[in-house]
Formats: sequence, structure tokens, C-alpha cells
Amino acid sequence: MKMPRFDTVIHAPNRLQICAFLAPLEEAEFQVLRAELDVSDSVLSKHIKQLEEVGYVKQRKSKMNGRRRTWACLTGKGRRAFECHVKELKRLVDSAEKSTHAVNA
Amino acid sequence: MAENEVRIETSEVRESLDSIEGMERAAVKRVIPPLWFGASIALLAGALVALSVAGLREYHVYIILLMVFVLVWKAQNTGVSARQFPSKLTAVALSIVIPLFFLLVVGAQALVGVLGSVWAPLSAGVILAVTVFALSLFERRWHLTKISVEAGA
Repeated sequence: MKMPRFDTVIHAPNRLQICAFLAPLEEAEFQVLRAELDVSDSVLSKHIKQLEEVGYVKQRKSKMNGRRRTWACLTGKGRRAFECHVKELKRLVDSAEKSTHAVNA
Repeated sequence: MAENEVRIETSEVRESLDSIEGMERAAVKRVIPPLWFGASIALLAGALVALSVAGLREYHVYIILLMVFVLVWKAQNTGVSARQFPSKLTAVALSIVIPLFFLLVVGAQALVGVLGSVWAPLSAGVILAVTVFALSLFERRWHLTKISVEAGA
């Protein structure tokens, strides 16, 4: 069972969005990710590299019609870490709501 | 002060969860097969059954190659690939289409004497093409409804 765990690497807004976009997919092309996040190539590369360094994301290069394309995907470790992080965020919201109700009661 | 800090953190967490939902929806939206994809696969499936009924099996290989080309082209041009292939809905659709394919081939071959060697294969092809296209439209609609329900929730 996956335990809720706050992950500082994932929590940065852009990295969180990258993981959230990749979570329901097998893989996504770099250009698609860039368009969805609305960031520059260098910003996206930096965040992907950071996720790659901790083993959460894997990159693959392919060539089609003479054009080089980069694909990114979440690794098993990355997928688990993202799921645990989302669980932790939900747990934080739940506990905050409970404490608000307790104060109001 | 401490209470303020908790409120700020909670709102940040909520924002993060909203952002996650938004990105997941965007990813699912990208995976939804485009209309042209459903239409091309429907036409090719229809052609396959029509050729089978007409006894022109030597042309099957071209139709299958075209189907592979359409699948690869779609995967390359949408820039994303689905995690589960085939999806549950696609698997259900295939379980309807594959038996229907054979049923139409056998049925249309039996009706060649009545409908003629042109209309029997054409009718079978049209029936399969319409079914495949309807299933693709249903899948698209199902995904779009799911996304809008989640967005409204």
C-alpha cells in the first residue's frame, strides 16, 4: 500500500505539472509538455533533468522525418512518488478541513 | 499568526491539487482519438470486409499496412501515447467488431446470389464502417463527458 509522503522534488509547481501530465500517459513528447506547461525549452529541460536525476522521469530520443524528438515518461519510482505525494496533499487538505470544523463547532 | 500560516499552506495545497487535476485532464484530452482517426479506421475496416466478401484477399495486406500507418502516424503526431492500450472501451469495441467482421463476411457471401457480387460486399463494408465509426464517436463522447464531469466536480 502506498503511504502518503510529501516529496519536495515533485512539489515545485512546474515539476508537479510535469508529473501530473505524465501520470495518465505512457509517454509524452517534449514539445507537447512545453505547450501544456507554457514554459520555455530551457525551463522545461531544467525541470525534467531534476526529475531525471532522482530517477522519476526517463527520456527517450527518436528521429522521424529527419526531425529529432524527445519523449519523456514517468518511471515506476516516479509514478509511486507522485501517487504518494498526491495522497499526502489530499491528507493535508482533509486534516485542515477537520481542524476548521473542530474550531467552528 | 499560526492560523494564518495554516490557511496559506492549505490554499497552496488546494492550488496544487487543482493544478494536478487540470494537467491530468489535459493529458487525457490529448489521448482522445481525433475524428479523422475514427473515420479512417472505419473506412479501412469497411474496405477489409468488402474485399473479403468479394474474394480479393490479396489486397488485405495493403489495407492492414494502411491501418498500421494510420496508427503510427496518429501516435507520432498527437505527441502522447496512452498508458493503457487498448483502453477498456477499445477492448469492448473490438469484442463487438471482430465477431461482426466474420458474421458480415459469412452473411454477405451467402447473400451474393441475392444482392449481386458488387452490392453484397459493399453493403457489408458499409455496415462495418458505420459500426466502427459509431463506436469511435461513442468513445470520444465518453472521454469528453468524463473530462467535463471531472472538471465540474
